[in-house]
Amino acid sequence: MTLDRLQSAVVRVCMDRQASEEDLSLLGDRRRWMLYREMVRTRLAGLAGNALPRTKSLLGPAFARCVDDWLDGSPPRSPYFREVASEFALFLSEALHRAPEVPRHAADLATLEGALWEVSWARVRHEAASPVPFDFERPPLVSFASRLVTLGFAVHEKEEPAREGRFNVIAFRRPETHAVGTWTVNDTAADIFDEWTLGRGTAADGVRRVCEARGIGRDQKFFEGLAEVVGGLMERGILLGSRGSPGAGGPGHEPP
Amino acid sequence: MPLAAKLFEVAPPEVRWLEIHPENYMGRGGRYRETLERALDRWPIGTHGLTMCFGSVTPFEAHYLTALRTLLGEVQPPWHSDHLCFAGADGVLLHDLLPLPYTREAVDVVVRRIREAQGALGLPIAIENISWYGQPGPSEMDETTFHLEVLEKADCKILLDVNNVYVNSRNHGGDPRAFIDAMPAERVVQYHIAGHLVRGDGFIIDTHAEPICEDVYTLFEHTLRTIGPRPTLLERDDKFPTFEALHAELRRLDAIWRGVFG
Repeated sequence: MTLDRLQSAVVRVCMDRQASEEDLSLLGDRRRWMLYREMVRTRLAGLAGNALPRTKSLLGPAFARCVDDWLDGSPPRSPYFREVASEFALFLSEALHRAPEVPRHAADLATLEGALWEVSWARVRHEAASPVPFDFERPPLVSFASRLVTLGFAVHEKEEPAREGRFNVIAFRRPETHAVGTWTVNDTAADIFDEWTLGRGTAADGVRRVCEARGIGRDQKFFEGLAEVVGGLMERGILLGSRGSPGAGGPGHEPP
Repeated sequence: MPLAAKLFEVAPPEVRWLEIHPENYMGRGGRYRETLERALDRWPIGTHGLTMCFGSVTPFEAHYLTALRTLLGEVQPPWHSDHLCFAGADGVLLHDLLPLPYTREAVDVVVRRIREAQGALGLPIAIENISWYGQPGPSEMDETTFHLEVLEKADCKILLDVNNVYVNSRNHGGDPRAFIDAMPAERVVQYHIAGHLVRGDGFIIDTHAEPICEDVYTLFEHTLRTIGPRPTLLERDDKFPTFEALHAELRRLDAIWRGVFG
């Protein structure tokens, strides 16, 4: 029996919804390989629950079934344990959108908790990207430790029942204190955040594109609102300033 | 007070260096990053990986090696250690330390991978002997021979985990001192020591979540006498007791060390 076939069998024994007797007999001592299965799955389920505690509480016993579905269908691929929770959050959010038997806000809660988990550990910026004071005529520098999620329920308010509506929520981590929080913004501010996160051109270019796409005139009221958005992003450490040199550190978010 | 904060505050003299799992810091910000930077200012730091998986048949991912090399450049450890095991296949990572069959094919795979890692990282590699609970398929040699062949053919170092030697001897039979005595002292660069869980049926699980047991303290003393002084790390991953309880374990290890070497 070659090593690759044995290792594939171990993965199936640990990840499949049910370990096959064929794989177990290939590996040898059934009891011991079932022990490995239990240890691996317990650790991964523990991580999933730690990362998404409110979703776990909301779903009750169904959460464990979702973990089983995840391990069976989309098992962990990242070499970083923390990123495995993000993989699960993505899987769960998509799965819950298709699950009629769970509370309607469950998918949004998983999405939000996944975003909060990611910003809790993400780097703020590339080492090479030193920010200078914010300037509309320079490319903006947005913290990697921020994620915009659009929700159909106000799960970020932590009130039951969650209000239904459309909520653009930025999950972020403050660079100095490492405190994680959320900030709700309107659709225009959300689009500007997206533009600035993508890092295409200057901050002014991004604003211009959003205004054109939305058919918004750039009048006094708009600029007052924009000043509030910029202030809010900077106060929370979401907007770090502008890039010192064009393209330094590269645009956009790091992949989760 | 969190354990790390207490460690910075007390900084006991028995703590001469620290060890990190690099995967917990690679590409990471926030409190972990801040704590690492504070620790680097205070102690030498060793690196002990979790997912290099020397026994895996899957090729290394380039981005993983690049990120690891970057972190090692910052931390400047004298060597980098990881486990003699595999952790997945077919693109799936199980995030556990899974045993290899003791076969010639496994030796070849491991040796190739260690050499590749040594080249990519520009550092000596030390393999750690793992606790294992079952063997995947039949083996062609015993555990000791397997380790010796890997060490020799890969020309690498070994991080000798004293608790793992004990756990394996209790679970599968054999004299733990025989494994230790067979290890080439010139290749042993470091020791690990930890606690384990004895289940109701007597089977032992290497949890790093219990105090070190008397037998393992005794085996540690035997190791020091046989192989000599090496940097020693107390591992604790779960069910953290008070700082004082952990400090007491460190003092006990230090006393054994001084008893052997003066």
